[in-house]
Amino acid sequence: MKRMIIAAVLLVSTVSVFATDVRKGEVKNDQLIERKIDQEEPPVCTVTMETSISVPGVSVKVSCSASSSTCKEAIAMANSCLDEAKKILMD
Amino acid sequence: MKYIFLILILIGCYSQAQDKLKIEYQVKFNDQYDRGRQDRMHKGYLFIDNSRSRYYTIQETKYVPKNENDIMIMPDTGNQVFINSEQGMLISEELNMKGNTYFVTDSLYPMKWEVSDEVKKIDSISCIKAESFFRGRKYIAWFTPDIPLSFGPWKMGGLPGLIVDLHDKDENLVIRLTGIARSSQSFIMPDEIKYSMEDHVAEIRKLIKRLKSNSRAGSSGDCLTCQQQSVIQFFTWEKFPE
Repeated sequence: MKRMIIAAVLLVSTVSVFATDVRKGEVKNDQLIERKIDQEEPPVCTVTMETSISVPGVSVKVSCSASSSTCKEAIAMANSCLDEAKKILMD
Repeated sequence: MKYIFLILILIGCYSQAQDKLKIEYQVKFNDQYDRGRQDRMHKGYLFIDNSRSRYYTIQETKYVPKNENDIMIMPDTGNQVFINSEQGMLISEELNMKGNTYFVTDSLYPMKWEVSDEVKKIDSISCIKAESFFRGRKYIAWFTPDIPLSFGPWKMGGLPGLIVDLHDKDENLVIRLTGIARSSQSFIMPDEIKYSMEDHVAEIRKLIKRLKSNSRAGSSGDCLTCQQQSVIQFFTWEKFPE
């Protein structure tokens, strides 16, 4: 009986140590992720687009630059800027 | 060469009777003036009916856009200018970016020519050199006193002879007479004038202002890190003081 109690105590403490290690590992990982977020700059994509509208004797060149965390967003912004300029000139 | 004899005959009989004339020019124009080069060829036509004239160009070489965002709005007949020298009137046809044409009154021959002693023959026609600074550009003209008409291509003229050859200092615009013939074609001076040249320039300035204020108000999207910037450049062939 005494041996069984000792064995049971040892088993519980082993599981407990293992669980603590796992938790510590998790904590470590969380901290790593947090540090990674603190240190890393957000990805930046800069897009420049130009449009030139001319009639004899007059020419307008509009150059739109947009920066964003994604190129897709930067392209969309630059496109929208060009569309706006075209609208003012041609509508 | 085939025009030379015709020109000489016309010069000879010009003094006998003033008639309707059709003058043809070869025009080379750099559409990318002040920012690069894309020279294109046009035919220039000048019709003279006593004290009145009508000039216009027809493009021979098509404009080649650099990309889909390079837009050139080109009417079939461009650079149209009407003159009534008796009334001291010049009317030019302008085109806005919407593709609409309208007529503008302008000063008749405001440029001050400096006529030099330099003489040369262009296709057997005796010509005298004259220089002028007109709306931001220096022009060199060769005119012939043998055809004592003050007309010339586009808005240029006011010399004691027809302009045979004209170019600006940087050769963005090069015009040379290629033919002259009697003409039966008549034309009507436009009567629906939309603007004076001052109003026309003011309209262009208004457009520039609108574009610039719009670019300043440009949004930066929904995200905090997004940025947007635009640069607007205007190029005009005729430069007007601010």
